[in-house]
Amino acid sequence: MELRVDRLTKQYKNKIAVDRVSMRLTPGIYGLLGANGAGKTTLMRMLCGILTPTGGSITLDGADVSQEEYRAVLGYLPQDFGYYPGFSGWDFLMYLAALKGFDKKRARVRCQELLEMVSLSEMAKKKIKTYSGGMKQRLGIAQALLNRPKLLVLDEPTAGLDPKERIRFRNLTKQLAKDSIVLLSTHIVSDVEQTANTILVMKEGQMVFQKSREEISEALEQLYMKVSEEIVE
Amino acid sequence: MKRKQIIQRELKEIYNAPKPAKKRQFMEEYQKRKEERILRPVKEEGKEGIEKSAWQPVSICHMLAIQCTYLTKWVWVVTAAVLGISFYAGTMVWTQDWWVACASVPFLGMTAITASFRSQAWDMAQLEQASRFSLRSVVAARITILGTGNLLCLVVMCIWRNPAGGRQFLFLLAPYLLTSVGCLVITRRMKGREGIYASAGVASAVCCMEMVLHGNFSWIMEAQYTGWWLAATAGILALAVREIRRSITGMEELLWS
Repeated sequence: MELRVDRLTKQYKNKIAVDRVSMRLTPGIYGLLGANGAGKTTLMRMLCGILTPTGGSITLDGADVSQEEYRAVLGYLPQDFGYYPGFSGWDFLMYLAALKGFDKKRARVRCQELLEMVSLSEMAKKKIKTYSGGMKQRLGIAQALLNRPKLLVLDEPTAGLDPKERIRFRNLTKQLAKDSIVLLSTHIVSDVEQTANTILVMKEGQMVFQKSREEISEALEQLYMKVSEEIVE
Repeated sequence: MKRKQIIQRELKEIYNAPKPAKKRQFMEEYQKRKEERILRPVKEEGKEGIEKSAWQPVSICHMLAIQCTYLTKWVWVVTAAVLGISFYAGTMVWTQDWWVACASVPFLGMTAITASFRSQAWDMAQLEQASRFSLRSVVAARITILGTGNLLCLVVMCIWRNPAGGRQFLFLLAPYLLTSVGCLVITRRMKGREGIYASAGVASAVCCMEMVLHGNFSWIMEAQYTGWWLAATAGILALAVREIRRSITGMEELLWS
């Protein structure tokens, strides 16, 4: 399984948000680092088919991002997401399961499994507006896993999670990465340091660094600071 | 019975069950395997034992059915209220009480547009767009369902008391479309709940305009002015189509720019 990104570009009127990014990803965890405004979220949105690229292409095992075959195996957790008023956690998951093509019977089983996995079974029938930030984030993680994604794109997934949940999340991504591509964007370097197989760094719309964890000898934070100041070859 | 109980007791004494060992490790291993099963991608075998993709295409009808199921309650409440008010309005002699129906119809237009574009208002756009269907498809489906439903309501209102009511249909359609155009312009410019409140303002303004028309310009509903109504309605319809196209095609830039 391979995700191919070829000279991907996103240009707005007076700014190039993503500038000719190319990469090939195979199953594993990819930590995407970068300063605010580096283009990480724009890149992720293009990988999820939410934004149309200005140039370049994205394919997963030959299926283009605009095809249903690609979206059928995609899971996405945005940095911020809302919910319709009156929705409980259960309603939220069932709605998104329906949008992902699940029939009601399969959706019920799947939602139950995922709510149990993220420890939200007891809160499932309560309105999302009563949830804490961490609960909402766990709900977001659950919806990203609904369709057993082969490509999982996570934007700041551990924001709001307590340390115990953060560790659980790391273990979860390690399990997922055996069969899936997990692209994880975060400002918490320790999350990426302990789980990522490959580190990607973006700066001003360009991918300036891409190496496997084994090839990096120094501490990730130091490396990130160095890369942010200059381009490392 | 007593003999059975004696044998059971003796068997328990002879064959002591071992004390549980490594319970915590077992539970951890069980939890880990359960999570693996939940997370693992499904692999199905097709003919000749070749592994095939587990996904199946989802039809447009399925998507329309989902959107129908998830229309909010207040959409139905407003629709029922508008229909109820119109049917309750006296004998519905169109020159006298028809304005009641015309004044309440803008709220149908408001519900159609705000319900169609609610993904943006409630920050659900990204999640919906990362599903099987594009956000444009979802919004287009909602507009189709609500627009068709509201149009049927207008037709029913029209022929309920006056089966030959061609002109009445124009008197209903014009304020409906005018409100829809206003709400479309607003939802493009104002994100979030402010857009919904502003749309309610537009509907109220058109409603007031209808009341003013009835109060001071009721002559405009006479037969000789049908041509004006036809022209005005056609113009507003063209505007509405243009605004819908703009809203749907320009959706990405509006959301993320």
